[in-house]
Amino acid sequence: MKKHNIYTICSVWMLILLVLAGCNDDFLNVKPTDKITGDALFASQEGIDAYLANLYRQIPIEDFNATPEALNFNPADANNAGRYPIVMTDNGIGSEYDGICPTGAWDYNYWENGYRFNKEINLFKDVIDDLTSVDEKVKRNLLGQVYFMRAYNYYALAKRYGGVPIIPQSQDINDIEGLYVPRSMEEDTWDYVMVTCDSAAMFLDQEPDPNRRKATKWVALALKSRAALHAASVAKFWDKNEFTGKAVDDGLVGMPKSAADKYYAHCIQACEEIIRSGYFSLYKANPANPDEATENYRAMFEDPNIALEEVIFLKGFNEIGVGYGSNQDNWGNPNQTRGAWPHPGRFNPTLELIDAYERYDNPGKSAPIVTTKDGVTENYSGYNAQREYLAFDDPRDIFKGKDARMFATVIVPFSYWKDTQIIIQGGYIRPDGKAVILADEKIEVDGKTYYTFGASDPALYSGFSSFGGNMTRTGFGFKKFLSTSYTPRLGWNFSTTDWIDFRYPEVLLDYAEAVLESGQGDPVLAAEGLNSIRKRAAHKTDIPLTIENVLRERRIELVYENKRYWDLIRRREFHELFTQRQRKALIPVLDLRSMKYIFVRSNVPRTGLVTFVPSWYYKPIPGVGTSGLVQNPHY
Amino acid sequence: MKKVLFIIVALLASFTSCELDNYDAPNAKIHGKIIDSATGEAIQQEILEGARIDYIELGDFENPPTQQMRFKTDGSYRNDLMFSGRYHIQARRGNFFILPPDTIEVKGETEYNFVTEPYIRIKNVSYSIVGRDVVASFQIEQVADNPVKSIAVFADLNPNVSQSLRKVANIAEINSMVDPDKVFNLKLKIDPLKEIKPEGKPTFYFRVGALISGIAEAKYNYSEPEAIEIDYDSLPLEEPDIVGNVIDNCESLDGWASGGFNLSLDTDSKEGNFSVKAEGQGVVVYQKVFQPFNTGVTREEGTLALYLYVLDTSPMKTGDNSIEITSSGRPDVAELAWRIGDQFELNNGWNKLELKLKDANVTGGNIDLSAVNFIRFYHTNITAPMVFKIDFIRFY
Repeated sequence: MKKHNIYTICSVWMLILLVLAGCNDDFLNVKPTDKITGDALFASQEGIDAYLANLYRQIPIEDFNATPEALNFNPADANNAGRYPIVMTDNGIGSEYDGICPTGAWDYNYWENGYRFNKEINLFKDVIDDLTSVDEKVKRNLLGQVYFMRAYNYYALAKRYGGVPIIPQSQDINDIEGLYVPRSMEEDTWDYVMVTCDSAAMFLDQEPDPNRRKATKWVALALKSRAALHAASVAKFWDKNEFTGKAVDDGLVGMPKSAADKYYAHCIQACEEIIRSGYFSLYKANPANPDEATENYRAMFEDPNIALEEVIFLKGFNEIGVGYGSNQDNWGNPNQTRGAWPHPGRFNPTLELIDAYERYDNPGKSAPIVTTKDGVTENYSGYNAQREYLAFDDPRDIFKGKDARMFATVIVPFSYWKDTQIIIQGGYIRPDGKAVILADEKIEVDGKTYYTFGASDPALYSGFSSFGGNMTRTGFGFKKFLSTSYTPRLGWNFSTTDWIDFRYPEVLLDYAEAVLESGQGDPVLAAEGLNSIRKRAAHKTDIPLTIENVLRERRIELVYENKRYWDLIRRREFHELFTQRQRKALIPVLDLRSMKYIFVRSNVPRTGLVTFVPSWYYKPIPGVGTSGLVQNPHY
Repeated sequence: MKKVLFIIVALLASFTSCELDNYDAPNAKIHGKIIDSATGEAIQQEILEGARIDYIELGDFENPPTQQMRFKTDGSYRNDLMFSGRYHIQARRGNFFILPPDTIEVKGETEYNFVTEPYIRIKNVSYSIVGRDVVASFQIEQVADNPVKSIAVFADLNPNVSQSLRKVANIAEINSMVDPDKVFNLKLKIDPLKEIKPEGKPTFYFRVGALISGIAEAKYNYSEPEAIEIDYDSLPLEEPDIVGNVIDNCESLDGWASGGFNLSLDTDSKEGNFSVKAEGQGVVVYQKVFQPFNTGVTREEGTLALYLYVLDTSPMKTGDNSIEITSSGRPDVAELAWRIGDQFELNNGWNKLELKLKDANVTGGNIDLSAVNFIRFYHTNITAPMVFKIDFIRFY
């Protein structure tokens, strides 16, 4: 009987189709009543904003939800075990994950999403071209938005893949041959990004957006600076790890060294326009003391809206929930302030980062944490009873005199966070002199019980135990961006901290680097920029404009803002830093003989050696068997 | 129930018409080696991200993908899941001269060897345990014309030890053309091995490597891995040298100059990888100009310490000589000097010199010990070919 029914249904449908085939197709031209035309939509600012918001969401901004596997990673189940860019460089490590490449070569893969977004931008452009209802000024701005998003998108593609197919208009699906656009040379692709940034800067509003959430000329220039610096660095340092193969022979990856100066010049031009415009300045540029500098710097990332003079482009996170919020607070909070959330403490700042921060009494130099009287810092072999350790009544004293920003970025052992003292301790030395480190143990001394991890129950401490993966294993907790008011809840996407995509210090540091690397531009202006950032961090002494100083400052000032990965990529430093590398920890140990704290410089417990494979400087292009595109080297 | 039954029957019906797929299983195998044409031996390879064999199946395919195989450490390869047919095959991204792609027929069990030459041959490798170091001695024959970028010794618990798979390494950048007769001695400290395997008499695998410069994607050339058992208990106790404030650890020739003698870096060293070697006859002047260096010591209590190697002291019996430091950037002004025989003696081989500042002869005014910027060793009458080496110059 069923079969009969199916036959009947099919027959009816075929009949209908036959009837329709013979129809006059006039009725297809009837305007649908449930859809809205471009003219109607763009007649109001609300309509424009609604359409733009959907496109803006697809801009490949590397915000809180940018993971190596996917951008905008805030789905219903946003569990990726805390594998964020924060833990993928020498600045951090996961409490459970110690790699730098969850999907190897496919990390940061953006091919399909990039070309999907490209298509959407082109469709938007088609709509704008046909608009009759809006005035010329609005139309110009919309066109500027197209150029801005396009520049951002091709920047994101070029930094991953080198030269890519450039498709600046909607494709005709009937023109099969025309769909197969070959890759442009890498240099041509970057040139295209430069030109597109310039077009955006020309068409977009010339005044900064008061809320910093819409692209204006200034956002386009900041983007240009970032992209130009990337391109220049690749041209200059490409041969630190040269590739071979067809993609190289065709110029699809790699650029002549001579191109570097061209891109540095682009970077310098864009930065100088921003710096000289006077529209932007550092938030609270002259703190009275380091403590004030710490709080200013911390507060700015918790709520960037208090620091709009410094913000060039902001991505707002106004609502919680799938597709809206982020998970930074849940992953980042130390175990003791985890609230109802079971998996905190995933982001562990490394000792390498702590070492890189300057001390106020030795400006312009990284200041490794000295733990022993012999002053040797390059020994990570663990506790050695033969060495004489520096002992502290208050364990926080070992960090005294370090750069203010450090205390706004990380939670140092035994410091306070949300009115809770964060206990980070890795062991103790028993009264008989035996060291018990990284083992769970307790001992009674003079009627008082002492615990290796500093407290009786895992709920009461935040370090070194392997309990739940919740404890830092570097000795440091994560703090930058974290909310002081939100207590982690059970569930995903509850954080609504806004993300600063472009911040004025990045422009100043881009400029300083471009000036130094190329010898173009104004070294005095560049040095001023560098030192203004340091002054805001309560440094009193100006340091000279050298590449070491600029790169250290960049690493420190922009830490965890998802820059470090690409800085190591563009300067081709990743494979130099990460060949069989083990990241480092600082283990606070209570010496029960003196009741003072000592510190042990150590390899991060329970981790292996990590290598960055040089072929990852360019990502593999998916689907070349179908598209016929030339694949990148090694894939 | 009827519906469910209908669905099951329908599913069964549709699956009965399926086959696994319409391709035959792989029916051929390939194996072989990469062979050094001069020696006939396989060229040692990197285990991770090392050389790669690209092969493309020829036939009626659109955009045929490039497939990959890898070499084992010993330079052999094997793939037991190939399809019979014609292939383009090429080994590249390695430590050997790249051959053009070859067209081969793979059928049944096929053997195919790549016969080429390595960029560098590493010869006469031997290991010894000296003090608390493993010392690898070896010679290098350059095949490629470019300078050798670095030499290295790698160690791991894994027998496939190499640059990308190693727990411990000592990599010395040499960036120079290499004389095939020169013997390198590269040290690897044992203490870091102890951190990896603290107990017993573990066996570690060692491999010497050398990397050519100026060739894109070149990999290290290697010696064969060698297993060495390390008995921690038999090692001599550490005799820590006083480090002090190091003015020069003699790891590069920067700033060094010599009248009459040839200067080079030598891997026979007392600290780090290198010492500064001077070879010649007649008058030796061996000097370095520094940025002003704060010695951190006083005239009364300070010591200038250094290592000085002398091949043979007998041709040095007569002639003026001295070791000098100044703060004037040149000799004889603001100078402290020490003479052989007066303040110190030299023996054949390495000499550990500890020169008390208070014993020194003063010339041309007082030295500024917070800004020492010149050091010199000279001897005016060396009557036979001579080798000096200097290392680890510091104050305490």
